Amino acid sequence: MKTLDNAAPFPKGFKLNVTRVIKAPVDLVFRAWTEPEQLRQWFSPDEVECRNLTADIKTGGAFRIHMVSKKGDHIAIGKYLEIIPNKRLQFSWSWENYAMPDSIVTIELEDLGSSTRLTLRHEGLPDQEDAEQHTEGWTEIVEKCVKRFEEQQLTT
Amino acid sequence: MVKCSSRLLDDTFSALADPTRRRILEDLAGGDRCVTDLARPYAMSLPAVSKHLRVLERAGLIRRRRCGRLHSLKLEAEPMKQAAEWIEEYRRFWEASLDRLDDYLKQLQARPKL
Repeated sequence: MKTLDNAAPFPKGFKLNVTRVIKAPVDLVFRAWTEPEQLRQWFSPDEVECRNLTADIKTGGAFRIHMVSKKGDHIAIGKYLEIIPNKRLQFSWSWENYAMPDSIVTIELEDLGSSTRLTLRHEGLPDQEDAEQHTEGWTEIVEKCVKRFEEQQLTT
Repeated sequence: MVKCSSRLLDDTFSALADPTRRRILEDLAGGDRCVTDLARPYAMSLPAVSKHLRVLERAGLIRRRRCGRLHSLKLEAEPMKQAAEWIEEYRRFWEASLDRLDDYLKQLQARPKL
């Protein structure tokens, strides 16, 4: 699985949403994200090794996650912006090796009893139009354009 | 990190940062258009639309063709595909991390309570 091979500067106005229902109560999910000993155990996908993880879990606290894939080292860094127990975790995200503006990751948790709905939003810093017009992220448009273009290719 | 494709992506992302340009690209995804037809829905002057078109052309997202007196515009898929790939990489990264979270919590809950 290709991951993080083309880490490019995070574009403004970019929004990516991932939603998942996790079969665990909300407090367990929250703690998995906010206890460094737990984070170390699960963070980062299979083909990426999490070599070192430090996190100071408090508003303004910093984290550093050293990941290694076949393509090399990827060190994610950031600061915690907002921590609301069992509800919300927000942190900035950028890559230590590359000079780039921060992006923001927001995790919202919804208590569903024995399960939790987790919504992860990864967005670039808002651009001017975004802030003024609350336009939707443009990921959907890119995906739509590529899809329609490919459909066209099939019919010509 | 592949430097040159990063610059291409930068141009693509700058082009996409504007809502009018996004709508123009969506329109062109439905097929080639001539400039006047494309500009019609927008409450802005033709020169203003042309300015957006030039940004899109410079980013390689659209191509202009002259058919007699008409200029027709065509969506170029390659930069969009690169942007889509880039988005997909991040999506896969987060999805895979959440897969791991799911597995981890499943195992955690399966452990006998002390």
